[in-house]
Amino acid sequence: MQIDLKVNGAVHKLEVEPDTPLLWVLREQLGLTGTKFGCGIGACGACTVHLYGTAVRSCILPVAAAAAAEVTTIEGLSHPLQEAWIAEQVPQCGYCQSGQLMAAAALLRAKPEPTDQDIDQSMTNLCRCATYPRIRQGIQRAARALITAAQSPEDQQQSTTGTDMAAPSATDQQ
Amino acid sequence: MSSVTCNLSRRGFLKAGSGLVLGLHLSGFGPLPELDEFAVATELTGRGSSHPLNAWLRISPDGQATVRIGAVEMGQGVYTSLPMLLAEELELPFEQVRVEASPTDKAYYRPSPTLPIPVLMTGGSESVRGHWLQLRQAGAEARQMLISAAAKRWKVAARNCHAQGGSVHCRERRASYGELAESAAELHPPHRVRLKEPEAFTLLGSSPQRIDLPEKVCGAAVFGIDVQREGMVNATLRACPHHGGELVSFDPSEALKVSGVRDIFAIDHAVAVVADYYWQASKAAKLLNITWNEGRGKGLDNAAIRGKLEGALEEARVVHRRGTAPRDLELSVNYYSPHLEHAPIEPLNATVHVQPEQVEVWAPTQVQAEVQKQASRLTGIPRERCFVHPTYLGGGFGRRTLVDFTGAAIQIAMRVNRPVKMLWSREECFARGQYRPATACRLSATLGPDGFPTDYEARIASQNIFDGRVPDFLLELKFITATVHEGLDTPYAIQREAVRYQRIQLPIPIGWWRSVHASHNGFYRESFIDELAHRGGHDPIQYRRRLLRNSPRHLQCFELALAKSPPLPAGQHRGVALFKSYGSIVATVLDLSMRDGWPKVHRIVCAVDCGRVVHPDTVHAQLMGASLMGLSAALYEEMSFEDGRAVQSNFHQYKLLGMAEAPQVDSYIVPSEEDPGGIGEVALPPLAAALGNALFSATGVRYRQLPLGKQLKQS
Repeated sequence: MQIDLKVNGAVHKLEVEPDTPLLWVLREQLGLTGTKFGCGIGACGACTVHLYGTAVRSCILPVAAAAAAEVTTIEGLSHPLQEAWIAEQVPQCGYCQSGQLMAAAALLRAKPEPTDQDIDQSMTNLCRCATYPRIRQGIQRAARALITAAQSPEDQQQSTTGTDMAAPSATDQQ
Repeated sequence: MSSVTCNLSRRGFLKAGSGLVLGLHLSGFGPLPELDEFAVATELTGRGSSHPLNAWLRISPDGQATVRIGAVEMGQGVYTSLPMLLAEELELPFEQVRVEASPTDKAYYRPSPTLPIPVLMTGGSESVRGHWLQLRQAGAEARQMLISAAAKRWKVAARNCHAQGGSVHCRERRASYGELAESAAELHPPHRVRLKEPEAFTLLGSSPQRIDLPEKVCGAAVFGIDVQREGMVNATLRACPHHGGELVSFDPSEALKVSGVRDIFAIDHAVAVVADYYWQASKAAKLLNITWNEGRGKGLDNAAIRGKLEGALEEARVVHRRGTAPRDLELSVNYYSPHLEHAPIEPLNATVHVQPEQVEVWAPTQVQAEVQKQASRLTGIPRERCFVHPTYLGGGFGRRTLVDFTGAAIQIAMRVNRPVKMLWSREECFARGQYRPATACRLSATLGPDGFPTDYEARIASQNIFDGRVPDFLLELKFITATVHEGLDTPYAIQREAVRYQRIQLPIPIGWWRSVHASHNGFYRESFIDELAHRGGHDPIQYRRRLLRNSPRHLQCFELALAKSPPLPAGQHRGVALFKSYGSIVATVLDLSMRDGWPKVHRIVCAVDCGRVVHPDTVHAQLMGASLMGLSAALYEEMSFEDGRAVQSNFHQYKLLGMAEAPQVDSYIVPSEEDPGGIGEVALPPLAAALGNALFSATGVRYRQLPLGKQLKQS
């Protein structure tokens, strides 16, 4: 079937098989390889993307269900979390971190000041390097940055939930 | 609000087949065997714009230095810590450093702290130890060449020039490395260079930001699974799920109906499906109608494995002894740990292009030189025409020291006339793991009247990871058996001590899993010492202190962990353990409380003595990660088998530690002027024992099998 898939603000006309998981359309047809494959059963979260700003696991989401939705991938994320991840030196191997960042961005959108319990409940993505304590610190740092930014007048125009960048991906596929 | 700049990667990429072939002056470090097999030629990018000073380093006119790194980056931070070694001696500001994966070439082999030959692989917590002199030497040589070039240019004596901050200085004159690189590259490397005294280090011991992180927070880092080649197709496979079994026959007719499927064929004991896209290949693979036999896997289940291991304990032969033979071993207990899956989150994959005259492999592998040999062996193409490009690894943990998956990818590529990326489903990764071996251990001791041990014996039975990988006669060599019983000997003041080992054979494939046999030996020994303390009527902390009287480094490390642990809050229970592996000592203190019969771990404090530290932040990160991976394994992880077939197929059946169960890890480094020890694995071995000891304190029950969580659920 032919679908219009809106990813990171750009609309792509694609010929797909409707049962193909969104993950594989992103990775193989659009070349957006920042979103990772980990388990194929929605258990590990490496494939987390946003559908209208909500975290979903794209390895079990048929692309037909995402047609006409706003999809954001890591390539389209521009968020203080990413700076916080570097400041806290969060990633180790880094493979799960796209998914962790997407899950964390969705959490901060829903709860700008997440408690430890909020983080425990919503950050269910697996990290085999076990960077969890630093992920927690990264989320808290980004939350503080967003709150500070919301309070300073010159940054008022910036969304306090961070942005899902509405521009097409400029990822350099090396 | 600004964000991370994603297009300023500090990682370069080798572009195979392009670029100028240059003769390089090799660094004078050590003899490199088979050097002429590879010629001293390497393909370089950036022709005409940057100048190689030796095999590791080239400098462009703008002063940008590109350092080639033979170790692969799998999260342990070597793309930062290793170029630091070179930059320190080169007097180069670290911001000017870029890294790229070295070619798979003898020039990049490094000495190994454990093997008698140079290697090009990443494992055994060896990277900093193995490169410690080599990369510093390379940096020092290049510095000397740049100084010589400046001296020549200015017609002054080299001894009147010095290097600092990326430039050579002579009185008021100054020339940047970028300006000097071209003429320096013409010079021969000096015969001898003087390395800095460690007191003069300015970069080593600091923690610059990791070079690989900007692209890892933008989704731009290229892992094996992300490799794209012109005209590439995708493949997956289904291999015989019964370890020891074989492929009997398969019917591809339903699978061939899936759109995009190009070919289906058998390789070894697997059926491969090639399609335009992975998803198509994966869908088709599920539709294959395959008949397997169970072969040697028939009847092989957990009980059979355990029975065989425990039976073998009786036969175990002495492999280590201190003092005369232990006597009157009156206390004797059995411990056990199961097979484990590595479960890196990036599933196994490799991309291969076999052409008539050359092979290219892009793979997340820890052993690129081994893959190169494998490619040559399988295709018949000479090794120097087999180009292996290591990518970022989405976790290694030892799984990618095994070459089963690259071998499968090469075999598939030999049937496909274009580049092919082979990717395994998670189910395939579990089914065809190369697991940590299950082991049985019997620990025995005699206590003196003071409650302290006078005699100690540890017996271990295990498959041998080298079995089938090296000639049989090597299997009994001390160097090979020593890995199995690593750390079952003790740092404790015990008069008579012996370790016995017996090898068994099973059709279950096994491999090196983070910290290898230390991962369970730490649990065995340090749980047992706790048992002895309680039997002898002593506090386990005081007990260890007294037993460590002849091991000052152990004791110092243990004391640091204890000193940094806060007073135990009411209702919490503490367990301690310490263990030396890979040249470093880690002491762990773990505090927990019980909630509905299940442990809530509140805090882990660990101290490490890993000698001199290159990059403290990655040391802390590894202590945290390995401790928590140890906690994951200790609480949850176990592979089970039925008729040689893995029961667990995905993460819903093989639970890994998650955010909610991950406690804070506070880590501390013992100041040391000793040479560096390993760091990637060393915090894992003591963790399970610290947990088990805390559980004993909380419940009065001694758990002697892993995973501990399974028994807690049952009780």
